[in-house]
Amino acid sequence: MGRYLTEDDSICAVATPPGHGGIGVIRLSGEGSERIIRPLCGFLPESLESHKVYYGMLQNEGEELDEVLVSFFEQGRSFTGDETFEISFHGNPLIGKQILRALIEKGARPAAPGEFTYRAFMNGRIDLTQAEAVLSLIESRSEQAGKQALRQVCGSLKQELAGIEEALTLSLAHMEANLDFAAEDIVIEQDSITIERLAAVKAELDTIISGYRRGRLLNHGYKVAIVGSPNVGKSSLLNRVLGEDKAIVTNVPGTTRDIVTGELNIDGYLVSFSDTAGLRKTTDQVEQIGIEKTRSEIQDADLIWFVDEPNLPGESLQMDERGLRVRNKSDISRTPDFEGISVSAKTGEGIDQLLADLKGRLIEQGEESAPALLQSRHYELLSKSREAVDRGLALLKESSSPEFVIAETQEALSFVMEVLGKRFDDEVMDRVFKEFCLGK
Amino acid sequence: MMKENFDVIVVGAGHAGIEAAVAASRLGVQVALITNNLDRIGYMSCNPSIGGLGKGHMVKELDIFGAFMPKAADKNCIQFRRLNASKGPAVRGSRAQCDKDLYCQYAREVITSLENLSLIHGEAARLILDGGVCKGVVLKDESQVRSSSVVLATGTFMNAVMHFGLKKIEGGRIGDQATVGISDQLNDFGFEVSRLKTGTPARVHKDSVNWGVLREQPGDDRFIPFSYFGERKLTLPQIKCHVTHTNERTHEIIRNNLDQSPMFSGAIEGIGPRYCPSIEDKITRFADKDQHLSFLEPEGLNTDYVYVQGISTSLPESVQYEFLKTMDGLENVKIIKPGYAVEYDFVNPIEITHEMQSRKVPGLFLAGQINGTSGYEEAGAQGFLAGVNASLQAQNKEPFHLERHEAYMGVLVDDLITKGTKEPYRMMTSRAEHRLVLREDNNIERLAQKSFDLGLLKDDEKRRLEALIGQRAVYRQTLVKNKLVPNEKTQETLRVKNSAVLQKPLTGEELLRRKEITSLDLRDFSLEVPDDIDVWEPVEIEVKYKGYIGRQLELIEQAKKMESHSIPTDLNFSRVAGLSREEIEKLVKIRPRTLGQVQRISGVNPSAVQSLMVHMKKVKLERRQY
Repeated sequence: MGRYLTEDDSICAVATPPGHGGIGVIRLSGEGSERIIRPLCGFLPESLESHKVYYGMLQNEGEELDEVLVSFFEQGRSFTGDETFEISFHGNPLIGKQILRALIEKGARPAAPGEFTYRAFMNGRIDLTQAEAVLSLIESRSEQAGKQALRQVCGSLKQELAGIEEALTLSLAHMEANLDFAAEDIVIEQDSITIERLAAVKAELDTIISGYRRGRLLNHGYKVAIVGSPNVGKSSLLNRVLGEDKAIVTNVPGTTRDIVTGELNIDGYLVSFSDTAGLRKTTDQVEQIGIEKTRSEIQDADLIWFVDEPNLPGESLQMDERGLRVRNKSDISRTPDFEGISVSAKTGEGIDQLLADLKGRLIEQGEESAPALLQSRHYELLSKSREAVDRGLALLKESSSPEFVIAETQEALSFVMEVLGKRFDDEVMDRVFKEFCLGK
Repeated sequence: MMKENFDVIVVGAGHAGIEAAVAASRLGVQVALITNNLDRIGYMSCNPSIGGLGKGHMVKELDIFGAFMPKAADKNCIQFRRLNASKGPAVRGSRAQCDKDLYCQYAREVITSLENLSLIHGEAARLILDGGVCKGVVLKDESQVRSSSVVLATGTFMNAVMHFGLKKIEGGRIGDQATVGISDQLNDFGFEVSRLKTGTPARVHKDSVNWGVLREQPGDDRFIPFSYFGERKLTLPQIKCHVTHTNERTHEIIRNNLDQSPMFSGAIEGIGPRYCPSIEDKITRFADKDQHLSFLEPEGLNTDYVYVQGISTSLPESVQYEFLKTMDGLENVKIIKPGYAVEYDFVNPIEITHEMQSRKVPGLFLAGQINGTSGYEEAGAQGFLAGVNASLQAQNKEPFHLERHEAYMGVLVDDLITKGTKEPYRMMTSRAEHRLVLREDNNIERLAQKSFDLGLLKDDEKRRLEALIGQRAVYRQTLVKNKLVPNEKTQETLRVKNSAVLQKPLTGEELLRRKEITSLDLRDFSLEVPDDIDVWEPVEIEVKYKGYIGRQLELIEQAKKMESHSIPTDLNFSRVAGLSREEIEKLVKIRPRTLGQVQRISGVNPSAVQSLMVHMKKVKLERRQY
C-alpha cells in the first residue's frame, strides 16, 4: 500500500461521475470535517444532527458559490466510519471544482483513488468482500447489477462461503485428528463421511462458480455478436435494432471492417450489439484483421446472430447453444420452414420476434438462483479452490496418505478465506484497491 | 556462603534441564546444573518411551544439534516402532521404548562426564535479581550460586500436589518433593501463573499378568536410530509388549466411581491434556466406544514394573484394582504403584520470547513443563533452545531461534509464545502448517548448517553429517544424469516389476517417481544406489513427493513475506487506527515480533493485520520525510 499517507485528516472528492448532470455530490470525510465545512456553510445550526439534511447558500470568503444541500453523518454512523458531510450541488463541474477548492483551502485534502472505501475498510465498517461489492455497485452499469451489488454488500456471498469454510475446516480437523491419534486407536471420522462432505463442498462451489457467467451478465452486460457472410445486411440489422444509424451501410461487400457496437437497455439489462466484419476469404489486409476481430468477438459473445439471406444461405456454421440463425431480407423472399427467425432490416418485420427471443434468454440467465459473483478475482480463487477440493477427493478415494489430502484441503480453504477477506497480504490488498477510482 | 561464578545455571535435571546443560557445555560456557535428586537425572516420570508423531520429529531435530535425548533413546531402546509406517513420509513417527532405569543411569553418566559442567545437589529456593536482571539462584541452605543467566526447568514440581483418589499429597512425583517459593517469586514478577494437571497410569507387577492370553506386540524388524552419531544399532535385548483393552464392565466400574475421581469431583482445578486423556475422560468423552486399547509395556529389562499404557487415572487405588481386574490378562493383577494425577504451577508462556527468555526478567530463561507443555521431547526441545540462548547471551553473541518452516522446535516455541496454552501442550504433526517439508528424514538438510554455525558439534559428528550430505548429493546426481533407454533389457526388467514399459528414454529420477519403483529397484537397471538407507531414503522421498514439497515451498515463501514485516519494539499499539480494544490488549501482552506472528494470535482479526501493516508503512514514510 503506502498510498495513503495519513488517516486522521479530512479528505474530499466529487463522488458523482464527471460531466454535467442534474446534481453532483461532494463527499468530505475525516476528523475535523465540521471545522472545515462550517466557514463555508454559515447556514448550519450550532449543533448538527446525524443523517439530517441542511439547505443553504455555500459561500467562500463572501463569494456565493451555489445553493446546496448538506447531509451530515456523525462518526461511527457514516460509510467511512469517520465524520462525513455530503454536499449536493447543481451538477456543473465548474461549481464542483470551486467547492472542492474552497474545502481544500480550509484544510481538506483531495482523496486518493479508493480512499473513502479504504477508510471504511480500515475502520471495520465493511469487509473485503463488501469493499469489492462497493466497487461493483459504483461501476455497475445497469439496475440489475446494482441490485446484485447491494445484495453482496449485505453479505450473501459471505454467508455462502462461510458455510463452505466451516465444512472444509471440519473436514481438516477430523482428518488431522485421525492422523495424530492413529496410535491411540481412536477413529474420529470415517473417510466415507469426509468424502461425502467434501463432495458437497465441491457441488456448492460449482453452483457459485456457475453464477459467474450471470454475474458477468449483470456487471458487464450481455453481448450479442452479429456475424455472417459479407453483404447480408448485418449493419442494417444493427441499425434497425438500435433505432439509429450506427453502422455505415453500403451495398459493397466488406464495408464493415472494424467492429461497430451499440448498446440497449432491455428490461434493466445492458445489452451490447456488435456488428462484425463479414466472414469471407480476403486478401485485403485491413479486412483480414477485421475478420480476426470477428472471431474473438464470437468467443466472447453470450448470443451470436448468424445472419444470412435467402439468396445467400449460410453454410452450416458451427453452432452452439449461444447461436441463433437469422435470415434477413424477408421482404424480398421468405424461406418456408426456416429454423430460425426471419426478419427484414429494411421494413422492421420480424424484429419484435428477434428481440422477444433475446429477452427470453436474458430472463433465463438472470433467474438462476446462484448468488452472482461480481469479481473475476472471486471466480479465479473459487475455481482454484474447487480444483483443490477435487484433487483432495480423488486422493481420499484412492486411500492416499491423509497428509496429502489435508494439504489439498488446506489449499482449498485458503482460497475461500482469501475471498472472505480472512487472508491478507500486500498483494491481496493491492489487487482490491487498485481497482478503485477517485471519490468512492 | 557464595559458590563460584558461572556463565549459566540450569535449575532442574529433567529432560529440559539436561538439554540446556548439554548445549551450554558444548558451547564452551561454564554451566552449573542444580538438582535435588541425583538419582533421578533424566528420569522418565511417565511412559518410558521417546518419540511418537511430531515428537519423534523433534528428537531427530535435536540430534543435529548434538543433543542428549536422541543418543540416549537409541542406547536404551528395548522396543522400536515407527508409527504410521504405512502412511506418507511426513507423518511417520519414530518411537523408542526405553529401559527406564538404564536411561536414568546413562543420563547421570553423561552429565557427570560433561566438560565445563558442575553438578550441584540442592534445591533452588529463589532467584537472585540484580537491577531487575536474573543473576543466579539461592539454594535452600541459603548458599548463593551466581551466573550471567539462569535456565529454569523445574518441570511439574512447582507447588505440586498429587491426587490419589480424593487423597492429596504434596509433591510432583512419587518419591520427590514439591518446589515451593520460586513460583511465588514468579507471581511477584507479574508472571501469569496458573495450574495444570497431568496423570499417569498404574504400574503393575509383571508376574501378576497372565501374558499367555494376550496378543503380542513386537517391535519393528528395522531399527531406525534417532541419532546419526551413536553405534547406529540396538545394543539392548528387545522386548515384546502385549495388547489388552477395557470392556463394558471396566467402564461401568469407572462410571460408578467418578465421584471419587478428583478431576470429576472438582478437587482438581488445573486443566488436563485433551490429547492424553485419563481413562475417566475417555469413557466420558467417547461414551459410544465400548472398549479402549491398552498396551502393557515392561518398563525395563530387569524390573518388575509394567506400565499400563492408555489407562492414566486418578481414581483411588481400590477402584483401580477393581477395574483393572476386569481386563483380559489382568484378572490377578498386583499394583506396585497406583496411577495418580499431579497438579502443578506453570507460567503462561506468552511471557517469554522466541529465545525462551522472560521479557519481564532479563537473564531468566524458562524451559519445559514450566511453560505448560507435556512430554519429554517438548521439554528437551525447549531446554536446548534455552540453553543455547542463555549461553550465547553470556558470551555476548547474537541470539538463536528457529522458524516455523525450519523445525518442529520452531513451531513449538512460536505456538507457545504466540497463543499461550490452557492445557498441557503436546506436539502433533497437525500443528506444523509446513509439515510436508518438516520430515524426520530431512533433518540434516534443514538444520545442519545452523548447527555448524553455532559450533555445537564435535569434529567427528560434523564429519559424519558432512559425509551424508555429500553422499546424498552424489545419489541425486546419479538419478538426474543417468538415462534409461527403452531397450529390450530395460523393458523386460520393467515387466518383471509390473511397471509400464518405456515409450522414450527416462532419467533415474523420473523412473523413481513411479509408485511401484523404489531406490533398490534401480539397481536392476544398473544404476548406482548407495547401500546406506540414510543416504538413499531421504533422496527417494524428495523425488517421489516433489510436487507436494514444491507447492509447500511456495507457501513458505508467501509466509516469509509476512514474517519479513517486523514490528518495532517501541510500537504503540493503542495508536494504530482500526484495532479493537481486545486486539490492543492481546498485542501489548504478546508483543508479536512480526506481522506473520500477529496473524497467528487467536482473536486478532485479519483486518488488524492490515491496519498494522498500513500503520507501519505510514510511520516509515513519515520518518523518511523528515
